[in-house]
Amino acid sequence: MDFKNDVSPLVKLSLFHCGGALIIGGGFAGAAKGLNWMYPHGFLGWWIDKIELILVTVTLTVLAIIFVNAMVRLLLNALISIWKDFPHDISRSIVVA
Amino acid sequence: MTYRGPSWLREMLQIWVQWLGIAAASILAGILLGVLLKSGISTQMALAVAILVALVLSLWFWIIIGRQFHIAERVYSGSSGNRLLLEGVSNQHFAAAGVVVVISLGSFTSLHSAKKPVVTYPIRVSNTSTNLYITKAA
Repeated sequence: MDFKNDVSPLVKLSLFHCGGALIIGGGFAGAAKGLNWMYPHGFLGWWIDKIELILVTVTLTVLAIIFVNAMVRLLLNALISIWKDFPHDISRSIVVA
Repeated sequence: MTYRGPSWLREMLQIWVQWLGIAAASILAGILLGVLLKSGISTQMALAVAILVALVLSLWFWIIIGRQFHIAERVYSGSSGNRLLLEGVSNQHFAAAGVVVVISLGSFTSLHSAKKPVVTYPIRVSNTSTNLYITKAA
């Protein structure tokens, strides 16, 4: 399978975004765990909690925005392809099927 | 030279760097949340301000990184004649943003240190046997 040409752009973008979110979230969680392990009674834990709270909120918000944006674009693309009568459009086949 | 579309590798790199920008914005906003909480602002208000700052910074970093990647792409494909101008403007915007963030954090920190309450109630010292007692005067 040719990744560049065969994978639908929406699936490809979803994979990239989910991978990016997982790497960033996992990296921060791992770093926080390591710091807590190295300095169990340090003052960093309180600050890491605050940063983690904001990171989780922003990450979920951005993922939700990206998801809604993708759905809206898919639906609009399907509507336009039905209206303009493009029979082989991938979004049309996804939505109609 | 013709314009070449982005390869999937470049696209992936751009998206991951944009997520790194979101992480940086979240770290800045988390520090701001901590500073606000330590300065005595209510939790709800501090959370509202910090999340708003985080979302605005994330959006801004997302756009700046995306623009930088598109500028670099145009430079590599050789279709941009004003590369230096575009890069200069972006770098100036980025530097100005950094200065604003640092000044904001510094002002919050100085506000926090300036608002420390000073207790000035009178005290009375009494020495009974070997122990020293300090009590608040009526």
